Amino acid sequence: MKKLNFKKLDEISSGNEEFKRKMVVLFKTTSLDALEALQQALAKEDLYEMARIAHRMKPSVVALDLKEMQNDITFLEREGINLDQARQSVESIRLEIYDTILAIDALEWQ
Amino acid sequence: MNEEGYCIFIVEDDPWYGQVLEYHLNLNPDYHIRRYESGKELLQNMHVRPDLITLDFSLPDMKGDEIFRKIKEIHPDIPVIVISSQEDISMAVKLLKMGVSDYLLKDDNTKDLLWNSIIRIRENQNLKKEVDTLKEELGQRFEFQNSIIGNSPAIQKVFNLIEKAVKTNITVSISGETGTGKELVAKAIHYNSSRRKNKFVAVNMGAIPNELIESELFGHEKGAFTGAITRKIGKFEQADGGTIFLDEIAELDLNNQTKLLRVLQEREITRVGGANKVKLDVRVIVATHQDLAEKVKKNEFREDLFYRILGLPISLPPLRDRGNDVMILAKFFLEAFARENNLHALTLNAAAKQKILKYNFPGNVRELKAVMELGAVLSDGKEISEEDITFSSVSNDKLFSVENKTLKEYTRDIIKYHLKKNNRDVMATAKQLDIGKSTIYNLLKDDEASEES
Repeated sequence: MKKLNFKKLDEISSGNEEFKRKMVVLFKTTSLDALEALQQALAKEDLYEMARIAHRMKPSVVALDLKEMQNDITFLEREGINLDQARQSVESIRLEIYDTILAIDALEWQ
Repeated sequence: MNEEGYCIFIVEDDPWYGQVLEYHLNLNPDYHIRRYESGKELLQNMHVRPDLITLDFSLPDMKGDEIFRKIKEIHPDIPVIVISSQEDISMAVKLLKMGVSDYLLKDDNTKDLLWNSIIRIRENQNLKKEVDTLKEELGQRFEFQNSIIGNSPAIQKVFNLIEKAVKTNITVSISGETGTGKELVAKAIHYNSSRRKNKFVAVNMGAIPNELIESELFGHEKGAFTGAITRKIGKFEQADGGTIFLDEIAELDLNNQTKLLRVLQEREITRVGGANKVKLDVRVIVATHQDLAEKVKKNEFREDLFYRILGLPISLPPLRDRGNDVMILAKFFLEAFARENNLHALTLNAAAKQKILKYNFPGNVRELKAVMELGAVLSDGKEISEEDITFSSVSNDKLFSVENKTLKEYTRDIIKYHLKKNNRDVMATAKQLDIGKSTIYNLLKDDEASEES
């Protein structure tokens, strides 16, 4: 099971536990929405849109300290990547999101 | 600030980050937050008129610079803070040049930077509101009824012309003897016109040496001449959007008249030593106590400039032609002086009033004000007596020079004055003036004849 690090999120929420939990749970929906958008953009071979979506995901991924996903996102934001490289990054992001969601569910925060 | 508090719009397409910003800003109970996820959604809600907008640079439907332009078209005064995940210095510079209040990066410091940025913007907004309020108050001070006192037909005519002047941007030329209130009228026009929120810049042309006039009026670039160590913005540029008041315009020499004429024609200036033209929107009011038409005849004033600045001429009557206004003004000055100096209310006794009414005030309203203030200081009680009223006109020449009378008419005035003073005693008057009685009788006969005819 993936281990989650809430140090940055604790700082953002200024010790407000309720807000922290709300943001962790919210991550499940926002990351799945972003993943779907990434996959649609990939299907359309729209690298510019993929970079934009990756860019949008960044603050939550950084806040939850998801380092691997952060690397993939930074890669997608880069100019000059090809479709194969983008496809690999999206797949990596997909796996990371699923792992994270499993870890969040295990916390049993609603 | 609207009724709900300080209203902030957050425009952020990432719901997760939008929630973070909302949570953070909601820590201030004064802030009322609304959140939108697209540029379109924001623009649809601009009628709410927020106090501030935080804008994500990369929205799905519009780029940050595009939406910023649209915001400014709707409400140019609303401050906008752009928040971006990418450090793009050239874009940040571009946005700041366009008028964005701040450009912040989404990182660990964003919440503190945003917090400080909003505090700074609010301070500026409060200062601006304070300045606007002060300007409003200043405007009220210069409302006609508060600043120009009197109800004589002569001054009513002036009110009428001021009312016409405030409705348009026409150039106004004010003439009148010294002390008649030319600058007061210029301010009344400015502060009652649509330009009241912008600057009123007064320049006394007589007080600036001719060789400095150009730089003073139009500014200069750094290094334009020895001593020009920095760029200087001239009076015309300072008055952009507002009004420039050129007092004592007749003092301008012919060389500077030509330069002024060009600026008034082109509505643009070039700073001394500069190459670029600066377009200006300035209302011009000029004033003089001299006869400009006469100066044109003598080739001392350019005819083309004369017609350019004539615009709406307002001639201010001397105090001696304003009938009972002198007493209204005297009362006004006494009240104002008592108020400003925490004194009890002062009144004029009958003899003091008579003394004031008989005097012709060559220094006009300015002189009356000084006389009243001195009277208030000299008075021992609540009443100002005849002895407390002291006139000290610089020159009695004005008594004669301003009235365009013939020597015969002046002679008649003097004789009649002394006759009245001597209760129509012809002998006493003749003795006092060292003239023959027949001169007085002849004068009285002429007067009777002219009255009968």
